[in-house]
Amino acid sequence: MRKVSSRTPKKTKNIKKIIKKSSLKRITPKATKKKKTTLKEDSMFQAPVYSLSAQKESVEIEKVKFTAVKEAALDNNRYSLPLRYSDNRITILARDPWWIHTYWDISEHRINEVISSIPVYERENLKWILRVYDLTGINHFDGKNANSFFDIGIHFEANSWYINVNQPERSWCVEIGLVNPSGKFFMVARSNIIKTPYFGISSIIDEEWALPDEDYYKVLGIYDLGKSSLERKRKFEEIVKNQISSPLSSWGVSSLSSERPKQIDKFFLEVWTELILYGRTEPDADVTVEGKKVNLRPDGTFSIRYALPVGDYQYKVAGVSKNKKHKVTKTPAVKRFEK
Amino acid sequence: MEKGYLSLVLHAHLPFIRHPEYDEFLEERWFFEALSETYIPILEMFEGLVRDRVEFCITMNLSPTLCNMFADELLRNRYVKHLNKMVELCEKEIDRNRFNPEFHKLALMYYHRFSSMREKFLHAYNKDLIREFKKYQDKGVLEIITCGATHGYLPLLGINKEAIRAQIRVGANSYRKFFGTDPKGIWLPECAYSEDVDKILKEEGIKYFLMESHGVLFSRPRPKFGVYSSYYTKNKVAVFGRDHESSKSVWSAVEGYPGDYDYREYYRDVGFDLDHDYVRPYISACGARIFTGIKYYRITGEGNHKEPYNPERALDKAAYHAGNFMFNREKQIEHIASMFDRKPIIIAPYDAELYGHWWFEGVSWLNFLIRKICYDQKTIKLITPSRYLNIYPKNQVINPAPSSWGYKGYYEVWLNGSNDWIYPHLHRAQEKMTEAANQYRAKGDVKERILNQMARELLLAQGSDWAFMMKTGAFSEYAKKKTVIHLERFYLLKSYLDKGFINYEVIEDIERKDNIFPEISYSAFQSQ
Repeated sequence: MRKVSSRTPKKTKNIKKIIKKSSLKRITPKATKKKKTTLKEDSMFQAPVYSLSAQKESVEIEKVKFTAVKEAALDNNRYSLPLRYSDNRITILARDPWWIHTYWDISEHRINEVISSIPVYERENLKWILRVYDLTGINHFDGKNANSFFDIGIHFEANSWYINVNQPERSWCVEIGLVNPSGKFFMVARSNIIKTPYFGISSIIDEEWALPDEDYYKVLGIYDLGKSSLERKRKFEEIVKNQISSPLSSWGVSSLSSERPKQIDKFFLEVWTELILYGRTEPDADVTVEGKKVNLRPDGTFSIRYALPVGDYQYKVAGVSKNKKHKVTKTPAVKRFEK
Repeated sequence: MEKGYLSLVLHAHLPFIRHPEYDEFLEERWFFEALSETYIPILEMFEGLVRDRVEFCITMNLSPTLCNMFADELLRNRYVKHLNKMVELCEKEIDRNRFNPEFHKLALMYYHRFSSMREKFLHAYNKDLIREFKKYQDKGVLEIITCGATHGYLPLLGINKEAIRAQIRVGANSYRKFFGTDPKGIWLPECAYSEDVDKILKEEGIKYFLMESHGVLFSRPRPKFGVYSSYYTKNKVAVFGRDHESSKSVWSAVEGYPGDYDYREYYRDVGFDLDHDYVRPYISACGARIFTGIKYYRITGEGNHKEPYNPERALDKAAYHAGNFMFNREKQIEHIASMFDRKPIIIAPYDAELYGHWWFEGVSWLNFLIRKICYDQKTIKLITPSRYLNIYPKNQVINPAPSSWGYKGYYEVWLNGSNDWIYPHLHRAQEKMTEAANQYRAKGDVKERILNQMARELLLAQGSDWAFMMKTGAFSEYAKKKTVIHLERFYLLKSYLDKGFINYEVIEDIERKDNIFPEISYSAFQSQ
């Protein structure tokens, strides 16, 4: 940051002030306090500053869900990928029929460029926003011909945001930019265009391929047909919603790496017993336990462990010398019980 | 005469995990476990079915990463090493349980399993599982389909169309190399579909793909037959949707068959239960306890108390459940067929690793099911998607609904606070890859070699498994490292290309580590 400031010292400082002020302007006093400390010696142009206080503001903005950047993502700092690309881009991805995800990476140069294009008297109290355009049915977006749009106040440093567009099957484009108190918007970057996934049964029916409505819902497994086809449609969509929210595959997908949810998390204590039978003889002798041969170590010692469940046990150990002239038998016995 | 069809589809996939730089690597065990518990038992099932002349057919996706692991000499040898250790542990277990009859019997069962598997892998299969699977495809009982090259999550990579094309093309080429023919179908990674994916499938010669139920049910216009028929997309690729009912009875951890009290309990494993000193040589190199695959208990009930596993009883239950599954499908087909002017098809796809690994008796269940369908009824017949298309070449044209088979039905599992940080990196790298592929158009020189390795690194970073693991939290640290390391290698190689300074030793080292897709051509990433 220092390096950048030394290049364009005055200008950068001023811009910083302008935006810093503005981004603090409309947050609750409590949040403002926190914010100040976060930004104190920092700059928004630097590596992302993830602050939980950002969440507070988002509560005020209905359309926004800011998924707090988890520790997990911060861990990423340990590895050496570029934290920033500064390529002045904003990208959007659909998450589901109702939510889109956006991330941006804007260079200081680009911000300077936009701000210097704003007349000086309009530069005060600039605030970062996302402008979300509904472009459904529009072929060439020129920045003015959207069906509609709405704005979301953001923390520029968050670098990403989840937006509740709440409308399946529509086309979207997002611009990131600065807005001044009089509502004038200055675009900094424009995203790609995406369409949110569809939800619900299509009302378009292909005449060549059609079943009577009642039969159709029976095929879908709806027998309680209700009164209207709208009712049926709703009922079915409700069922599908439930189906896709029940984890039918989540412990199977990428299955070996995933842990199946363990049902038991109650306190437990397990106690087991084993018996170690060990001894020694001549290294070249033959030793058996209950008739089964035991391997001797080179020095003639041996050691075997047996599971020892509840019960009476005896272990007849027989040793025979190499020349078969000597035979010794010993039979230790154990009674294992629970008190 | 049958009234309808059932298509069983097994999706066999593991991420490419191979670490020659270590003597032992914990995550490589997933592959070894899946070999012992799922892939080889499935092959044994095929062997038995063919031997007994049971009429059947089944569809399997063997993902390109998995095939590359099957083909890898280092992993094959490590698997043998792993089996040796397992046999050794089983021998010790036989001795240890000598005076404990219920467990002794099970120890013998495991000993037999692992030692005969080793025998088979080394001598009958000659360590080559691809050849074995191919054998059944050539006999016409198995239809093998392909998958995205590294199981990349297409809708989230799709900012760059070239990234989708590369996943499909490299996956299809890998299939051609291993199976000597064009893949008819594809398993879209996580069944994730977004608009226009079908266009690329068409361009790459794919004939059909599979979707989650609502991918078909919510398509435009309304699909006449629900999920019980094939359809075409506007680019004339066929599409099939998963049947929810048949999935639930197997998948659901709560209502599904695998939770039956007679089945083997996955979580009670000697790796966790036995004295640490004793199991030390068979758990992770650092001494952390892990699952070994030797398990002595059945699920028994809700609580902590577990009874010893009884294989005969479990097998009876698997046969009973297979009968129940078949009966339900018969009823389902009878009901649906009465409303259709064509024979319906039920698509029942599952993760292959569910069978045997998670659900120990799963492969036996499948075996019973296939035999019962052949001998015990006449309502349903097994079929593969491509054979169904031969019977019904004329189909309604629909625009499939973007969706996936992940939790909540869309992309959220792979796009949330735990993993969304990967996409800015992946998208930029994809762009750089396409730029470089367009710019250099290198052939036969070191630049081509660098570009090919860059393509491998990028594909490896794209695997959906990493985002999934970050989300579930299990092995998330490893998943993050994998994403980043492959991208770092990608940028390192790119710097050689850009600056002209080339360190051949480094290139060789990276090629040795990430040796997937030896046949790759970076041109898969070129713009068209």
